[in-house]
Amino acid sequence: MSQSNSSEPYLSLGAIPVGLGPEGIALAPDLRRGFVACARSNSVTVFDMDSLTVIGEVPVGKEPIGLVYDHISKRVFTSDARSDLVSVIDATTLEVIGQVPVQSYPAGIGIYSEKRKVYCGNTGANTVSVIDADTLEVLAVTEAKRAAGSLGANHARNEVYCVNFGDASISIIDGTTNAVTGEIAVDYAPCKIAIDPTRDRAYVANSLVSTVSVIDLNRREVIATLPVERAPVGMATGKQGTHLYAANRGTGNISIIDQASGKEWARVPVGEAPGDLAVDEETSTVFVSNAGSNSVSVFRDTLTTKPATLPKTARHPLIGQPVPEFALPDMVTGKIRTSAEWQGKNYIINMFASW
Amino acid sequence: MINVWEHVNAEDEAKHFCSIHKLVCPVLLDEEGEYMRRLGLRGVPINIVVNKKGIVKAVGMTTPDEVRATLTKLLLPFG
Repeated sequence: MSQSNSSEPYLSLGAIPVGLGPEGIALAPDLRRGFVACARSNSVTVFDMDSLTVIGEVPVGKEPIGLVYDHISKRVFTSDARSDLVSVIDATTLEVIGQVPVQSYPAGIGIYSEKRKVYCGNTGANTVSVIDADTLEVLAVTEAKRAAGSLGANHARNEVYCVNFGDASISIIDGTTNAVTGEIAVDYAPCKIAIDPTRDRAYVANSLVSTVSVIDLNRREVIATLPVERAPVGMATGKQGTHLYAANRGTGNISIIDQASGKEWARVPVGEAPGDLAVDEETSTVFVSNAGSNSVSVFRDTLTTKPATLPKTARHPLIGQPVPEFALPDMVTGKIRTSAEWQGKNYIINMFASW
Repeated sequence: MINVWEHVNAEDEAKHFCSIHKLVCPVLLDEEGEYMRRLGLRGVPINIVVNKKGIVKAVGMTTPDEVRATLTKLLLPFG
């Protein structure tokens, strides 16, 4: 993480080492605790929001990806993708108090505390399981679209929005009846939704096309599409909705977007392959899970007005340089293959992760 | 292709991913991202275009369309 100075639009507060492959992150400001689902450790790392130190590790199901906090019951819910379960953790005692069977590959989760409902996006089944946040009973299973995942609730409209990664759309679910009442088309491969009830808007991070869709929730349509850095997968609002944050998995940074102008005001370098983010409104502190570097980056958004210089994508320093040599095992044979094998050829190296 | 940052069971995870997406090209494993760090790359997915002389011509691109457009611009063959 880069060192900050007073001329920068953010203050870097450091990074917290957590479990492997951290994804979904949520804060419990009432307990001053943060929780992050560590997909490759099958656990949740719990940290102190102020001292930025780890205070616990809670084993859950296999590959927890989504994570939300319910401030009323003081419970954390994780969607454990490879166990087809939602795990429920008491945020105070850090004990698992229940596991709720859901459908295939639940990769996303949402909380509607006012309605006492938890929503789980079953990516493999294209459905949403609606769970009673108190009794942990499954109340309904609602049909969404292909690769239904992440969810967000909007109490002002009594609606819940399910992000359909494989369908480039959002399903709108009625908060009372659990029925789908409409759909909104967004860009390709949407990953995450953030809601601003004050402005009656929602923001969707469209990962593969590197954009953010701005949705007018009254008209139920996209009213603007904002470019960000590469492969945004996380999305949140901050500073009472005046700032949007996009976690760019492809570039290892966070775009800070001015809501009013739709312009990217700053880019904050974080760890490797950032995924989800959560904001402490009281202190304008942003917590980012880095699936590549097994850490949570923490920074304070200190921007209050438009900065003198806006971020630009610089030419990558590797361009024009000899490609650094590699010697890595082949996935199939296990034998080491080196860059020498491709010498004298035009070729492309695609770097990817399965998550 | 180089699979990076799986942290656990990289071989199985990469094979599973390749079977879902029907990928048949050579796949190497960089389980903890050591080669990524040497390249100064901090995210995925990302592509690196290398020419016959071993020089990096482009870095970035997320979709196949972006890769195609970059190669066209560089007058390099696609596919």
